[in-house]
Amino acid sequence: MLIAAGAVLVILAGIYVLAPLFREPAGNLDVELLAETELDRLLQRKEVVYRNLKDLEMEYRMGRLAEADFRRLEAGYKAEGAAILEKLDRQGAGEDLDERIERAVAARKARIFPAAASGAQGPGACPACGSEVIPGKKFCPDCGHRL
Amino acid sequence: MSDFGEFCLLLALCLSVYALIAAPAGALRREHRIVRSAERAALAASACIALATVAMLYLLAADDFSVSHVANASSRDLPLHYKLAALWGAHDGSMLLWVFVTSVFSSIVILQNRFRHRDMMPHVVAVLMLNLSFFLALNLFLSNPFQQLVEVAADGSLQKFVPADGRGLNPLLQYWAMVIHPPVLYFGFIGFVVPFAFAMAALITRQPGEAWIRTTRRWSLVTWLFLGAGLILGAKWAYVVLGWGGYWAWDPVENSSLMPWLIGTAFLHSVIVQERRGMMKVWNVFLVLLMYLLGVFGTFLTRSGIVNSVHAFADSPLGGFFVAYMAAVACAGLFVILRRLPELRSDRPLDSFLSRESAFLFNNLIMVAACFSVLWGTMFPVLSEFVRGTKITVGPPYFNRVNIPIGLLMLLLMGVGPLFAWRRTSPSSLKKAFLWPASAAAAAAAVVLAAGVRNAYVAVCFPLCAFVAAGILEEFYKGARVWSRIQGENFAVALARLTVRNRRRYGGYIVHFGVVLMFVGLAGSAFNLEEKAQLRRGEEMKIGRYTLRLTDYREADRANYRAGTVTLVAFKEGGRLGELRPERRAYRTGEGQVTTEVALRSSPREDLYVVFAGVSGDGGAFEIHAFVNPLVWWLWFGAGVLVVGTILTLLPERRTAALLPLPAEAALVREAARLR
Repeated sequence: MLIAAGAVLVILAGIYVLAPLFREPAGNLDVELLAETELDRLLQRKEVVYRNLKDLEMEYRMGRLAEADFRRLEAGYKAEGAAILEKLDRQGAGEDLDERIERAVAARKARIFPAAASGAQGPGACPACGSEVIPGKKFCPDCGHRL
Repeated sequence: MSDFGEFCLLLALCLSVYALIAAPAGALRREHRIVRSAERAALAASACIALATVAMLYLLAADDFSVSHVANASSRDLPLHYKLAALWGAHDGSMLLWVFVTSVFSSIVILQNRFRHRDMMPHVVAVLMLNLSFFLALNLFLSNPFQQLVEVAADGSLQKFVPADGRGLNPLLQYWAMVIHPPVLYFGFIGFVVPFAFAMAALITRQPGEAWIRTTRRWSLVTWLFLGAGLILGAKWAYVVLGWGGYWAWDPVENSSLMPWLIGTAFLHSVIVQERRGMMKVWNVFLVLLMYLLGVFGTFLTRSGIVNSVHAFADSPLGGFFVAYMAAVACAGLFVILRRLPELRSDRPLDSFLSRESAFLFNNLIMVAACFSVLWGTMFPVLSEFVRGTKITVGPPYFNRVNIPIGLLMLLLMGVGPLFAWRRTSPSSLKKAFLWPASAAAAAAAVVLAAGVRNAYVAVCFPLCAFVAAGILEEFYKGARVWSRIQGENFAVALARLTVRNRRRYGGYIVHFGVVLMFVGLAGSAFNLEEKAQLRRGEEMKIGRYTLRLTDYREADRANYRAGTVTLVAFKEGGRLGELRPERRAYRTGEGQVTTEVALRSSPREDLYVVFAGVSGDGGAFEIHAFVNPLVWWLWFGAGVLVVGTILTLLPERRTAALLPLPAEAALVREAARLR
């Protein structure tokens, strides 16, 4: 009885633990893609500056800060925030979210299927109509020509 | 059933060791499927440990005294809820509970992060499983709760031994707070493994920013809350059950849970500085490491055998393993921190001495100093024996002399810190901010001196409490006034909205207020009164404003003990207050242990606390110890306020919880344009 229960437990645990090794595709832990980027950090810092500014204004209105202190600190935070906004612009934070996702997907595909990517050589042109095609696509998005 | 439980633990150990190896291997080989497999192994290990725990509960409920833990911690005449609570009534079983709670925490972390932090998770899982494997191995090989009792038979062979009854649950533990106190404290000891695991993972994956802090903020807070609740429940138990009139004795076991709580408090404050100003990064990872190690150390002190003797730890087989494990974790942690030191530099230097940053820094230094003074006093007997060959125990006088001033300094900083602005505060701002709190403190000082208080600590403590409380009330009042002016709401609505919308800030203030109330309760102990008397029926004793007249004595048989109860009629300043019935219980199981049930009359002003300490030889006189403990009520009430405040800060906050509808973004864009 005890041996049977133990065996059942071992088998169940074994199946449960080993299943991902056979079901999931090999090697798709893209550490670089997952890690926090400079952009993420800038966005977070922007949030923090906003929060600091709001708290500062609140404390001033509550009468716990002298006017001069408030002006000086506010200017400091604003300069900090402005510098972050500028960096964000340079990072291309303003660009369309879809475009960014599309680029990240393409980069990831290029890493997983290097053969397909090297064949396409970056954002190449369609041999039939000449419009730009995304590497790894099977058909041209404009004319439908098979790539 | 005991073999099944043992087998489950063994299987869990195999699974957790597999996860410990597979998770980093998956990260190294960039194989996500291996990481998933490791996570599943960790979950399966938790399931096995849960099965083992259920098996132990079944054995306890079924009175299977062939199992050593059941025989040690339970007995037939215990009510069912105490039989189940006997899981943590003795050493081996409490280790099983420890392992169970650890595995539950690990599973929650893994399930929460199935799709998040995938880059950090392999390392998080590795740290969690290292922790789990270590305690599982200890549980299985050195303190196995499923061990069967054996006896040597006449022919010299070993054979199974089943005693007729167990030794019973220690009567001192048969009290409601004691039933929940150990699990609550364990949550507190164990929970710090989660922030530790994330901190290490963040360093290893080179992301020492604020991501790990945001992820683990709730874990740190919940753990800190459990640890604090465990401390208070323990104090309440000591006060009501132990019957010596106090609630805190600087016992090594109490100290072992106070230390990680102090470091946790420091950590909760210093992460704010990192979040807001990008400073103190090295300090924070160091505190996390320290917090985890102190949690393990606390478990070790509590669970290394005889609770009251620190000396026992050197003789226990667990001692060496604990020391080796803590040393290994400390070395590995410090190594990782040192390797990433360049990436942990502060974003900016400290602007000014008169800033909130520096107040936070001082608060941290004081918390750590308090922790080390407690550590020093706790370990002194061991150290002195090691160095000089004689064990010297330092008692409450040492701890009080060192920690009361530190506590008062902490109280001062708690009031002063929030009055400073971030970065730099000019004297004119400080004057505005200090006006009300300082006036309140001065008024309180005048009252205290006029009342003729001679104790210097008390004369400092009450004005400081007034200072902090005034600062907090002013914060709420002025905040609500600004809010109601801008939003056009009436004051009460504005106050509620303000608090709910800014949970972290105002929840924190409520916690501070709770601490102030607790300090009031602690300061009350300077005025404690104590009287001892032998009374015969009809005789009276006096203590403070109270008179106690002994009227009756009865004995009665109850489920698992024999109770002797005296009845005392209490009078306050001549008026009849009511009857008090302190009790003495002689338990049949165990070694005939005797406990006292305190009779307590509690009010915000003072507690009347009466202990029935014994019967004279001829049976006609009764030894009564009476105490009057002023203001103790505020200690428990303040703890309740602290819990409420902490829960408020824990509730999910809307991402852009605007204090005011400020055009901050527009202002920033204008500023950016001007700078270009």
